[in-house]
Amino acid sequence: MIRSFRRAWDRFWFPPIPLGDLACLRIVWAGAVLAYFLSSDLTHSIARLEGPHAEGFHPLPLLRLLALPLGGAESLTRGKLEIVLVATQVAGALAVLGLRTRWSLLAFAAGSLLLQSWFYSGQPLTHHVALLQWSLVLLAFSRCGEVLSLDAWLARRSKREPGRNPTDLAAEGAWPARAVHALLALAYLSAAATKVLRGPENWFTGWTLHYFVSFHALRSGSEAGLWLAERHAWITAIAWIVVAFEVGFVLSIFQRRARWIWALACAVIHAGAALFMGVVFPSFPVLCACLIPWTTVATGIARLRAPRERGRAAA
Amino acid sequence: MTSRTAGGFLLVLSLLLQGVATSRLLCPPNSLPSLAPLRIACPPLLWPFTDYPMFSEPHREGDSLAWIEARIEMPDRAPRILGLYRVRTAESETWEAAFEREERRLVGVLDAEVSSSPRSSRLTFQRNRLVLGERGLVAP
Repeated sequence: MIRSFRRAWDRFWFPPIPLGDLACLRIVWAGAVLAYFLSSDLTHSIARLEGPHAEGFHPLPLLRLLALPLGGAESLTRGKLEIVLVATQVAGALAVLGLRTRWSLLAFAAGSLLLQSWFYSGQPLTHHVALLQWSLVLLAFSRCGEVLSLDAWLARRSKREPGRNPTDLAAEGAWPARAVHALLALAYLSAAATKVLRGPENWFTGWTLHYFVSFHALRSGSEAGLWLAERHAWITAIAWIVVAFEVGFVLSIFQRRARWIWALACAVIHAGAALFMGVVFPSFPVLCACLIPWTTVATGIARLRAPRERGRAAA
Repeated sequence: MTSRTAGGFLLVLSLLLQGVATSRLLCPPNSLPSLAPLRIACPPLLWPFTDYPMFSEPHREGDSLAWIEARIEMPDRAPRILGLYRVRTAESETWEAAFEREERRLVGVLDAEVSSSPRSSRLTFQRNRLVLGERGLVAP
């Protein structure tokens, strides 16, 4: 029985995956976290830090752990944090480009988690990049730098290693994509459960969502929000769709062929939240990149283009 | 450590921590005092693993959104808005009483602002309340 469980476990979590898919996840996820760091409030918060931390500073456990090599969370000074910020951004750029990929990705993940946990140790916590940052940790232990990277280019040039192709399979390599997929499903289940458990009749009659849509429309003057706020029946339908999506997302783990539909639905749901409620939460659609078979898509597009190019050459 | 071993460890760790965070197994609600010893991992202790309770605070038809706009009226100058302050009713409290309570609190909170303004400036409050209906938050 243990053996059959282990076989099922391996089949589910550790199937092969094209190296190109892992490389695309590295570029998309690391690129998104890097873009976040270049545009976030973190730089300003570090610049405002003078002397010891204020009274409201309660280091998160992860910060205590990651700050150990720097002398502990309490001794993080502006100078140290600025060095970590620069080092993290450099590591992020290297991770996207794929140079010394494993180490640059690991350093990027650790640096971004340290900086973010420092920020949340003194500020109200939000969760908009949490899973994305953790996904980089998972990806750092994969073969995501073997193609579409400077490492691959350098290896090919020096003829140290045989050139690999994005369509080559990484044996047992799909676990980071699978893990992130499952973490996303748990996050969506959590969102659905709180909506349903805290006030099922309020949610399913549309009033909870109507309140938030109207509140945002009033505050921002959003025309799209004001338009939707006058249509209670539409909002009720959307409230049902949102919960159906959040609960149903777990099915996408088992529906390989329909995964792209769930990725598309994820993008639409979050685009709608941004448009009508001002909730800009791009990290989940970015994480949904793990639902897209990048190499298959690229191969399909190349196949479609090939006859056209052959025709042009013949002409 | 092979990539497979590291992968297996990280996979189980991630799912376990996310499962605990989303289910709040180790953070039962305060309303269940008998389970208080289990409150050992409430958010944000497990960050980056958290729950996602956004926009779940229940609302119903007829709910109100009320706020006070506090201003300083100064002679020969346009009034200066000091801020918008949300008003909520306590249990069995009327809106009138809630507005009065919040205005009394604001007089104390904004005292320094008034003192530093030119003499004969005065603090004024504008009460606002909207009610949730079929056409959104509208005047009652």
